[in-house]
Amino acid sequence: MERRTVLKLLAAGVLAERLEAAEHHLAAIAQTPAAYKLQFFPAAQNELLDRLTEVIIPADDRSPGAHEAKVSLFIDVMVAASRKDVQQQWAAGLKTVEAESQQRFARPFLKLNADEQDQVLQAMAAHEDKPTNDLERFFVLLKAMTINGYYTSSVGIHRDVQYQGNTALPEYPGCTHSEHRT
Amino acid sequence: MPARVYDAIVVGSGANGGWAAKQLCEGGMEVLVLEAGPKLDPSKDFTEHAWPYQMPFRGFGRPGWIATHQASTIYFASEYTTQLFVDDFEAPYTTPPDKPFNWVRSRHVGGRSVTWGRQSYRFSNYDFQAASHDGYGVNWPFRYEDLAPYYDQVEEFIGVSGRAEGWEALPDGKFLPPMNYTCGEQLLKKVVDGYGDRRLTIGRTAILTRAHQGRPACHWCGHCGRGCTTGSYFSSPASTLPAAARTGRLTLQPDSIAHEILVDNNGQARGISYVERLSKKTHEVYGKVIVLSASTLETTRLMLLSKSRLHPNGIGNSSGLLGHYLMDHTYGAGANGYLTKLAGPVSQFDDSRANGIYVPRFRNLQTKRPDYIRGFGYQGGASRGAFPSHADRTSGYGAAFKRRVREEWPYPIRLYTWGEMLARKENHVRINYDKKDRWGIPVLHIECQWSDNELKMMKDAVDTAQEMLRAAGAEITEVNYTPRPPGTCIHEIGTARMGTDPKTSVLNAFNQSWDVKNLFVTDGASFPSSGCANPTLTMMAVTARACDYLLDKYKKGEV
Repeated sequence: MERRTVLKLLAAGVLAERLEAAEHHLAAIAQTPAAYKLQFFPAAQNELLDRLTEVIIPADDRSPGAHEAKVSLFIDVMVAASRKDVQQQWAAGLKTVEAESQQRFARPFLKLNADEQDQVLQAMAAHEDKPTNDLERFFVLLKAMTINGYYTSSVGIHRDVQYQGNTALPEYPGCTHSEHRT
Repeated sequence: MPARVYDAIVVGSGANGGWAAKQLCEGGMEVLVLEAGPKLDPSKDFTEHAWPYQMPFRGFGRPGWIATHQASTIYFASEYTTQLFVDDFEAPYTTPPDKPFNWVRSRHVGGRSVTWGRQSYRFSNYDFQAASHDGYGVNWPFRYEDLAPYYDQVEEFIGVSGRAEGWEALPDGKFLPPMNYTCGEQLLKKVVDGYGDRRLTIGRTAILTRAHQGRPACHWCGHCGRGCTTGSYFSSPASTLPAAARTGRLTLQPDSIAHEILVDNNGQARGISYVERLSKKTHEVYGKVIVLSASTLETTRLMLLSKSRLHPNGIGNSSGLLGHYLMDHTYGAGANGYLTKLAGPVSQFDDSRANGIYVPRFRNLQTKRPDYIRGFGYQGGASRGAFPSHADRTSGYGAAFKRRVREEWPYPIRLYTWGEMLARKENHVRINYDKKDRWGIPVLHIECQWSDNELKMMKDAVDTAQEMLRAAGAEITEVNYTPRPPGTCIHEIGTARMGTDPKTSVLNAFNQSWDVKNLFVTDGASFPSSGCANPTLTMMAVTARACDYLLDKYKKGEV
């Protein structure tokens, strides 16, 4: 919880022990990326996922990308808890990426340079609205999960979107533009 | 030692049970409140300030969990709140395969007042006297004027923010200062008010816009419904139950699942038999008066289960109507769009206000539609949140994609229909003795579906919603004419209706059983018709009126 939120809640009469207990509870249930142990993907596949997600949402001059947000670990958490058929989709999907990489450049995806990797991604994203093959279908799945992981991460929320809510405000300002009023 | 006999036993600790407990305790009665679920621990069970990355599954929940364990609650439970709703496997119910019904339940001290939508509207005589207006169904056994003082009492205690509008179909109340509109809502308001026959107002909501009755004002974190650490929206554990406890006459007993109302040789209620939630052992408690506020369908289930020599079809069921005339409001019919002129980088605090706008009923008041009777209100709003739900509709990948997600953040606007559901006898519940819940209690069988009237109303409502959204500058992105299955609005009401004739109603005009004079039903089960406004405030006012009557009769020794 942000310091200003804590102060506001204390001012509102909430007991400090209660806020501490709430933070402890969240810390106990949260993922701790530093100590995270992969549950579903083998290390090599996690590395591939890490790279793929970073190509989809890269670092730029405003904020870090999917790699620093550890999106691949989020995907591991979600896929590990999913049904068998979903797990198979992911395992098979990563294979189609490798197959595409081999076919185009006769090397694994992680050995490609950035331009070559981009060419593989272009092939994957060719028919995003109406995917026509397994590779394209996997891109839709991968992109959706990358979005879910990145924009719910601390990096995505605070550094990229720079969302200012979920805090304690003195009042709700509402619309302050006269041109929107009657 | 003889067993203790309480002056009153209240079954249920939600919005209505909490109010009944407060009023009866303050009136001098020794009250036992039985609650089926546990007491919540706000430090663990409330998650209003949690960030997605603090949740094990980022707020999306364990994949498949809600779809299997909480299918009835699928539109409401999230990873943040899954602990606040019933597990369907523990407490199942049945429906015919072609008539789904979503029965959303909470079992803990406070019930659904902890997770409710907080929208608080008064009914008008268009609702209480609806049958006189258009000839369908039955009137309520009283008029708006009879309930108005109780609406005042409830609003003044729980705190409701809103704006007085002088709108005939939506009487004004005792309001705390109203919340502000977002920019998108200002644009929509110009359009709606421009019609002349309709009005857009800010949602009337049981959130404190200033400190009230010892509770601090809202701190605008935006996550009401995940629990509130400061108790700044109305819930019984933050408001009425502490008031009841202050009298020294309240006994609150959690983890006690009522399964039968006990009667004496004359058929009068004498207590409750309940199952202890964890041990599954059965016990009895005794009271001079029984007040049922267990939530509409749990109340009716308990009455139907309470069969005895003098009440062979369930207690208080000499009319044979107990379980019939189940209603809800339409939910999920409406339209979404984007206000293109407001698109741009995400704004700062839009979603810190857990409230929206309201357009009260404007159909079938002075004029009459040829295609349907009764009416609907719109709820909706225009605001942006932290998560870019437009991202997976933004094509491509890479730096350009990331920048576009940031810079082309659309401004969503939505208008959805809360419509009246007609009271129809065939929409009913009964006990399914072939299936039992985790505590060995036979489950409820629910048969309920929309009628043509609701579906024709939705056609008009959704067409009209789109027209107004477009006029406000919205590009429509999603339209849905079909309401979700009944129950989804979580406004289930009816099944033990009030009335003026014991042959055609279960309760008298003061929520007292016609058959069992020391048995009262003060939750939504007592509603004879549904109106179209969110019902909790009306339920609480009805509870207050019933408790006034009960206290009077109790003091005179007449119950």
